[in-house]
Amino acid sequence: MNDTTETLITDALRQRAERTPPPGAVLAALHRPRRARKPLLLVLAAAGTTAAAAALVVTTVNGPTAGQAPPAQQLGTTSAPAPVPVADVPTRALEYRPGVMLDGYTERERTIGPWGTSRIYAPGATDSGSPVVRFAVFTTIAGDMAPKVENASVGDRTTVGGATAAWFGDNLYWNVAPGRVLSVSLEHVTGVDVRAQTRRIADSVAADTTSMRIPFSLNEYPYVEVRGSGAADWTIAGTSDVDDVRYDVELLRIAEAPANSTPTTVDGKPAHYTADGFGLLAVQLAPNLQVRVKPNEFKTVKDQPVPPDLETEHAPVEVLTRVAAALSVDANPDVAWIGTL
Amino acid sequence: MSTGFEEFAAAQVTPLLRYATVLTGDPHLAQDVVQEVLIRAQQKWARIGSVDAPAAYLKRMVTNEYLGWRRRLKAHLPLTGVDPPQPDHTDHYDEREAMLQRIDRLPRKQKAAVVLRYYEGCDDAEIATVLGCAQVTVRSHISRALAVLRADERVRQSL
Repeated sequence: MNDTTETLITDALRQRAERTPPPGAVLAALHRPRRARKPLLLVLAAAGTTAAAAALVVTTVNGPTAGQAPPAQQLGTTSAPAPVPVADVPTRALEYRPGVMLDGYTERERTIGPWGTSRIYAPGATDSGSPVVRFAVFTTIAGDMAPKVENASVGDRTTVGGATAAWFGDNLYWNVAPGRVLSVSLEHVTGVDVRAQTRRIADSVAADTTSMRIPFSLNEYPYVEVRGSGAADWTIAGTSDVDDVRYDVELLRIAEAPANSTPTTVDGKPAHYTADGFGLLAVQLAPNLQVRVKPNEFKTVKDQPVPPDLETEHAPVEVLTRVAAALSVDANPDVAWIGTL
Repeated sequence: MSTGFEEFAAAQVTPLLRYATVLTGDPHLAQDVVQEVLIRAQQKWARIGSVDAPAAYLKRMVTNEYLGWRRRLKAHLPLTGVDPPQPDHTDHYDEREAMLQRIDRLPRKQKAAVVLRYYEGCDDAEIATVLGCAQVTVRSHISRALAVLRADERVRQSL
């Protein structure tokens, strides 16, 4: 045994443990009342619908999505077309946006997460390792982040638009308003003065009154990623919790059934189920729009003891049908912003 | 919160946060992970509270959450950088930081096995239970991880 390496591993991990955040925010979250969940109806989208407003999106969603940020306080401009509101489809206020961007960079990806939202600008694909500019609005975890910005080392402190800001590496964070921390990061961008460009983009950030329609129903812990190269080339994926189990949800522009699947129906819509892996159900919402649902967690390995009733090896068709029926899907996803500034 | 769960959560939240922070390298993601795990445990407390070792089960849930967060991690900002560098009173800070970077490059299951062995002090059987794999697989994960970390260390020392 190389005791030096193993000792170094232990020391390094203990050093990282010193960064453990205080437990207050987590314990407080446990006391928050949970938003009442009502069953939602699966979207029944008209095939070939050309306008989002014409999409038949029937849900029983009431009120704003949990964790939804309040609308921005100022009017702003945006180059992307404003999404057409659809009755009862939940939306997320984006609140802020950069006013300038690196040459050739357009918006390629948006993420709605439990921590806030992020928008990614790139000259091409946003795959790992690709050059991107990441702009994020932190909401639910801003309370933990703001003091770190506030208490950054003197040499890292700065301001953005008069707000307290700090550099962490070449990433710039600033406390734009109570409960809101913004950041700009350039990742894998070469040939430019990274800090200068980060600063230029941060200085241009303004309020954005735009809201984004959430592509499929989410609950207290929404997570959805929309990415693509244009309004006709996109992928949407995320997770949704039903009965305390997390499911991966994907919206796909395909009509193919999953391999080894058998036909079934969900609310009268054609669907295919396969028990392979942990189970997967694909529901065809329109000729070229399919939603796929599969379990994301509580996966077991067969040779391990599992506490009784706590794990699911794979989800049977009845379970996934119930999950699919609990989803509210925007049949014309809000993707017009892809490829714009 | 029910009294039983409330006491359990109050006692376990810090160890779970510490474990999640070491595992993810991101204090904010650690908060997200632990919060979600505790909320799910709260909802299932009648059952989870009755298992032999609920704390170990929660640790397994945190690990599963980490192993299942590929997409989230990618989309998540590099929040590690939000934490101000910790003051270091030894000459080994850079060495440890370099080791952490090497650990972070390990495949996730290997990394989880390393954290459970060298931070949590778990034996093969305990790691196998948390990771949901056989003990021989745990030994394989640790062995491969150490081989990589040692090789990296040799390269670093030769520079």
